[in-house]
Amino acid sequence: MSALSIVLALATASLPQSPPTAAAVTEPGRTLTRPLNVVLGGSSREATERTLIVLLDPSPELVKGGFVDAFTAAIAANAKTLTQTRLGLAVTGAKDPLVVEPTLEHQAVVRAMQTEIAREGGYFQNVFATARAAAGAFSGSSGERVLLIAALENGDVEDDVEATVATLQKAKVRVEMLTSEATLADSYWAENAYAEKPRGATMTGADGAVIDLPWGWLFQLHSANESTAAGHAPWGYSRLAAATEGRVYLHANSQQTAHSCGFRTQCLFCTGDHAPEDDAWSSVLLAQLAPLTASRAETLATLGKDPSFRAMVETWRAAAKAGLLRSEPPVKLSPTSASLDRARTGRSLGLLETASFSRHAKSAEDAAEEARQLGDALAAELARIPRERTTPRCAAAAQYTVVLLQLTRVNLITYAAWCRDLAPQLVDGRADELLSPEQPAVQEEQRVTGVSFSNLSLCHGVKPFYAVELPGGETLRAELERLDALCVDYLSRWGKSPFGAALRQNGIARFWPAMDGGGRATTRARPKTDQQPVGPTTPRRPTRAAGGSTGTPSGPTSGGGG
Amino acid sequence: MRAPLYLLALLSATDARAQADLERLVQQLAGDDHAASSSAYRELFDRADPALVPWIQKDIVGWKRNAQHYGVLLLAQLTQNQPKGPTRAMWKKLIDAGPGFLRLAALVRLIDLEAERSTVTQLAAELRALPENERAGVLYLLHGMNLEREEELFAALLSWLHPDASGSTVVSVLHRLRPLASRTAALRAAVEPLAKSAEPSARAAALAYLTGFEAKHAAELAALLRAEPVRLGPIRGLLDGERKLPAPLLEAIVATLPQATNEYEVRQTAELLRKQSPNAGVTELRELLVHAKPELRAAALEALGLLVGGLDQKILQQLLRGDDLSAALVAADLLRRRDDPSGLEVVLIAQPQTLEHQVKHAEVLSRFRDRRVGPRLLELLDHPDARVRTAAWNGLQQLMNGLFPYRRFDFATSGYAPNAAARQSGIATLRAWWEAQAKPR
Repeated sequence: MSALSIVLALATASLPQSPPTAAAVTEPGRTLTRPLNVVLGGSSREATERTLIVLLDPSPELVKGGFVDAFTAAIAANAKTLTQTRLGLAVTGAKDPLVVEPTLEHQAVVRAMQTEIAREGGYFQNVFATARAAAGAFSGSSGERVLLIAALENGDVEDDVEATVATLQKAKVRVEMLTSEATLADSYWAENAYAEKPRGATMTGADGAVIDLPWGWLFQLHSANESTAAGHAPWGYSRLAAATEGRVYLHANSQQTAHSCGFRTQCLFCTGDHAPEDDAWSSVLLAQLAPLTASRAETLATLGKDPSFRAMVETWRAAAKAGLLRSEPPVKLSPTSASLDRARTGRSLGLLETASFSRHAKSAEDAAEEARQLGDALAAELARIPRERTTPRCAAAAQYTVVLLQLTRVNLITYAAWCRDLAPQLVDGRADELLSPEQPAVQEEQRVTGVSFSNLSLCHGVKPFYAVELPGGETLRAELERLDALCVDYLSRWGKSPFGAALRQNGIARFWPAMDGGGRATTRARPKTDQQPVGPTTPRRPTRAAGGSTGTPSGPTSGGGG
Repeated sequence: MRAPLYLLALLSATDARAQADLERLVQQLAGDDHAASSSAYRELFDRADPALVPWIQKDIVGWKRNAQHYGVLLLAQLTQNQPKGPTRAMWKKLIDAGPGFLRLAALVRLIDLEAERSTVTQLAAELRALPENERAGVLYLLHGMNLEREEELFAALLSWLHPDASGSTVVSVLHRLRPLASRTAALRAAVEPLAKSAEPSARAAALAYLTGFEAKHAAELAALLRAEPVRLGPIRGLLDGERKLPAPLLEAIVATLPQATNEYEVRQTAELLRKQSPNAGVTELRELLVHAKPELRAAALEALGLLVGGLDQKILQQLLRGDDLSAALVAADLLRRRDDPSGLEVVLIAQPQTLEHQVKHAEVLSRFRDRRVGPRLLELLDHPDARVRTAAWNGLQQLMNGLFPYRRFDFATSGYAPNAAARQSGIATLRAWWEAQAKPR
């Protein structure tokens, strides 16, 4: 060994150990064929004694994707290596989850699968509890033990993940996970904490163990956290695979890849043909930004030491208290660590609630100033953090916070200008005489009760807004230019990743007077019924707009059509 | 003698000029020119003049099939809020007028009106009895029918899937029945025998549907497409589903690209491939860039621009500054789609000479959201060609909505319609607004 090699080896050994992330367990591709061939085919080219139980969580997406056909084809394609593999079937939602005991008669499993997959499941299914039950079915079996969990939904129904890990590890079972993508730091259940859930279960669903990206920004109708594909599975699923030396395979159909300029935002600049270059994610970047797959406690301990994370959390809390977000961070920081904190909501500035436009304008200007101060302070602090002392994910989340603070400032400034200049004219009918085809924005007989807003998508960036007539004039233009500089800088670093896609999911707010009877909260798309939700349901993640999620053109390059 | 009554009705509802215009439009609707008929339909639909009902009812039996289609749509629109009795009588009269398209269309409307069981049974019988060569062309009439619930209608359509069925019938039925989740098993059972059909287009359609169930069908279809690439066109839509296609089939589809005979085929095949794989067909599309037909070159260029690694910025900028206006327009559009507006300068100063270039130019120009576009679009509102005028009109509306999100527009009040004979007044109104809006509010 040369001196240089020894020095390099010593230097490498002295580096802090990188904690495992979801990148290490997530396989490329979005098809059913490859994962089933890999899992059923096994690691050896020879037939070896194995027990493989399929844990099936029936869902319409699995049916539509042709899971049973793909499974049947994989059995046929790997017939030689499967001669000594006993296959079994467990199903979520059944009283006795084990539907077929492990057997060498593989077609018995296929037949049972055909029946079970079409069964209408409940709104929620506890995959973790079924996995614990299925672990018992391996007892007495010799050779390799594999639990293939096919669960495209219910990744957000979390039930004692660490107990499940311990049970599976004790039974020496490797988990191979076939599931769908989570959304980035999904905040849906944090925002809907009141919703009913299965007994003993916690509703989560984010790609990481904790929500590590601020959500619920003022004047954003929708949190990007709820619609930005993460490129990885929900944390609980990734954790099961990682802790048992298994893999995660993500599934998506070919229609989940089309680009859309935003979820619940209006795009002023195209009619659906936008093809941003950032849609093709960088697999390297995706891996760098992957969430940790350690236990939740270990994850919190690691995050609590990251200076970017700490700075982001402190700013998030301050911004919430200033009324700039409707959420507070879900963690509290101690000097060297972090722990979960109870959910709290941010302060409401009440800017939408009445038609007191001059008062609203003053409040908005004050809040805009707070947004500027918080953004500047966070940016300055982040600039002082050496790159090697923080993880890319924490750095990206903190920089996202800086950009969103400026975006919120822009929205507050245009709001204040709208309150001062436009709204009184609209309400009092003092608008200048309009030339056709322009019409009055407010009908005379309508009574103004407050303010409503929508979002104009940022998917095309900030610059196109320079040509758009928005309230705020030169002041707003200067702030838009500042926002553009921040966005360009942020996207040049994180554009080809979920964090870039998340930024594009936000929008410039457009305001109008709210009338009597107007404004109603919209509900999230539900997966298992076309009816209105009558009880708790597992939400289907909204279409992966802005940046795509799932392979092929608009998805991560780690995915693709493989 | 009823004609004078219709004229009286017309006179009471419209002024003499409008009446003449209406008369012209109805003649145009019933004429042989499909494009003119379609244009007349759109205009009559917008007018929604109830005076049209007796007029259409009187003449529709003698109209050609295409005009009958528009006539039925207009009758449905104009009677939707009318009392059920007279409307029912109107549809029954058309049902009694004789077999064929009009009867089927009227039966569907009657079911829509009152959901009478006996009418459903009659429609099912009519469908079963329809000659083979007319079947594919009437399926769209059932668009709004719930075929998961209407067992008789579903069975009637299933009866069309026999071994001698034509390819177009099989394709149309599969398009209509494929989305019915509860009917998958019955449909699959009916289609499987067609996978051995002697009629290649019917076999291709059956295999395209069955590809979603078994890999062997995908392999058979791949072999068929390699031998007869022309079979892809009619079944392309059946392959465009949620499932990922197997690699050998994708390769066979890619291999059809060099055989494409028109731009539509290139666009549609490339779009199908793009949904399946981010860079499938790049090589074949690049080969089409030197094809003898300029429209194929342009289509390949557009498709390449959407693929990962298909065309980089440097190539697009070269095309933008090159001599080929068609390529420059496509490049400008692709750059715009990628958030690079640098092609706008080229589009603004372009002076296309051929009509095809003028249409393309108007389409590309109308997709930019820039204030400099407004005056050019206003000019094009009076272009001699309706396609250019329509593109400019759509673009102007999007431009105004896009650049002025705090203003509310009712574009109908401008008085402009791209198919109207008199357009100057509308253009003047729009131009006046555009010139005034530059002033600060």
